[in-house]
Amino acid sequence: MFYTQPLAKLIDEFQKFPGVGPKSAQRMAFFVLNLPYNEVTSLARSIVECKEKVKPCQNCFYLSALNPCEICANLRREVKSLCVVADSKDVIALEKTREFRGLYHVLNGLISPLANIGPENLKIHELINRVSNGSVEEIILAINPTIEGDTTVLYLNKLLKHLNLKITRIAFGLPVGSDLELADDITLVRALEGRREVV
Amino acid sequence: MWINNVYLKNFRNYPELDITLTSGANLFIGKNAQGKSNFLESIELLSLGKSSRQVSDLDLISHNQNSMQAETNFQNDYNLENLKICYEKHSNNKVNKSYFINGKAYKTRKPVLGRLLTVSFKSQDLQLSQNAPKYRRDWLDNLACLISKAYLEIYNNYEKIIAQKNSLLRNNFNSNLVSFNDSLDVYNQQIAQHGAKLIKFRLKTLDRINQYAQITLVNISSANDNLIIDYLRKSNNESSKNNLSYLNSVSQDEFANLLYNDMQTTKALEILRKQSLIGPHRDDLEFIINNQPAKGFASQGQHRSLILALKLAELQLLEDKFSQKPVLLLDDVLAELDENRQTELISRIYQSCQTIITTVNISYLPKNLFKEAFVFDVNNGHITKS
Ligand SMILES: Nc1ncnc2c1ncn2[C@@H]1O[C@H](COP(=O)(O)OP(=O)(O)O)[C@@H](O)[C@H]1O
Ligand SMILES: [Mg+2]
Ligand SMILES: [Zn+2]
Repeated sequence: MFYTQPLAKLIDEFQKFPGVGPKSAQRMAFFVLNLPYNEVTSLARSIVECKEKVKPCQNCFYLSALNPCEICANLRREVKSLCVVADSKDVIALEKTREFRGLYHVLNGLISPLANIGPENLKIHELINRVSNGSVEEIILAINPTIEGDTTVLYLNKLLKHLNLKITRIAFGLPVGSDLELADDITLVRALEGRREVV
Repeated sequence: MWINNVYLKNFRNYPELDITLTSGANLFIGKNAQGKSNFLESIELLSLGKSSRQVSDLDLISHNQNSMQAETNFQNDYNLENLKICYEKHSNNKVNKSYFINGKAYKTRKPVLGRLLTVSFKSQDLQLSQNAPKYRRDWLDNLACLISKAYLEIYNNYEKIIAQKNSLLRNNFNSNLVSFNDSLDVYNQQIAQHGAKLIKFRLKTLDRINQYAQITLVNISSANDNLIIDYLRKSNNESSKNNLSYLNSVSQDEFANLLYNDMQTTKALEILRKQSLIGPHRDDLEFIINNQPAKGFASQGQHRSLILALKLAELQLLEDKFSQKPVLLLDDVLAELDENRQTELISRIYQSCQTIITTVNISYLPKNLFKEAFVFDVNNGHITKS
């Protein structure tokens, strides 16, 4: 290539980011080169610091620099309702609505044998342990209505149904195949209000 | 409707093709392996949004090239439309597909369906009644997708569940046995739900095809043969009844129960074979002429009439559904038909249907076809008008 070696490497690294192609990667690399030195070191430090400090909360597996995380540590949150999501990004989407006052549990993915993800690879065992201690009364499954989402919901329902909890799944207003992360706040609020029992 | 022109770039053995067609008959003459079927495949691609051959997406891109493009301008009763499909080879041999309708880009083939209507009749189709079940399911499923886009969604979802279950059966058996059993049961529940929906939809489609196919077979067979296409639901329950009138009386919920129970009893075998064995992806169609299954009973001539009737039924069904005459694609098939059946088909062609016909030898074609037809020579990925 025409790039000098360190520049080529940086462009290569940027290309690993989701949604970034060769053109954007080049633009980002030149942007970095044009930044003042102290801003570049600050950027590099933030990346490393973020990686070092942000870990899954040992209680709910939401990504946080604190353990337990900000949500688990908040005593005003209601421990009786637990919202189960696939990913930390879903927690952020739901928190933005300020509707839900309970706690979360992040599964870290959805069941998909094709992608080599079985129930063992998700935080399902931890979920069962968490609800078995008795303070949870209601479980809300905020999981995308895809085939993999349905599979995971049905699987969880199998394990949870004899625990005498109220189990609902948010569904209303979320079109099939849509993404929780991309849903707007109003849609999510309606989805939370319209949740229904899992069959 | 009719196709004005087709543009191909690095599609199979066509480096570049830009060709203008007539609204009547278009004859493509060429020796074997010159690209006649490839050309028709490109038109079917623009009609269905995917190849009708059972091939990988990669095969459509010319060898040694990284992308291909197929584009057409076609005229329906209201306006001129433009369709374009691009495949681009990515790293690890994945193909990135994009679809354009009148310049607007789409990520899936769904919006393409039902725009350029085609009915394709290939020489291989003459084996439809004797071939493996997959060919008959594909025929029905493709037609159902053309008639209703809702079916495409049902079909895709069902295929995804089957792929996941098969993957579980193949790879995950050695993991935790409890979670394996629970996962398998979840997939069986999903197959029952989605499969029941799929079967209901297929039956509804079949009902409509039957109304047309019966009429057309009566028209072409002087003996007044009676045709019914029956649905064969694969079940391990020997006594289960399987004819159309019975199946039509079964509700979607009842189908879901039947499927679920069948999977319960087949579970051990599925685990042994590491394969999903029950469900509409294993069902079949049966063509019944005069109360006897065509397979095994019908004469060679009856088989041909049967397929011809199906194709004419397809034409009529699509025409009634969309109020547009579909484009008829005949690949190497006219020469296989006797004079009576040729006449039956060609009389249809002259009812103002655009037709694209391929043949190895021009002398195989009926003479009256040449009135006002465009004739093209196909030679090693190049087409010239003669
Ligand atoms: N992806 C491809 N790239 C280049 N050539 C191809 C590709 N796929 C098929 N072909 C060539 O196309 C020819 C077959 O064309 P086809 O249309 O089936 O012939 P026919 O005229 O007999 O119908 C073969 O020579 C085959 O090698
Ligand atoms: Mg051919
Ligand atoms: Zn937490």
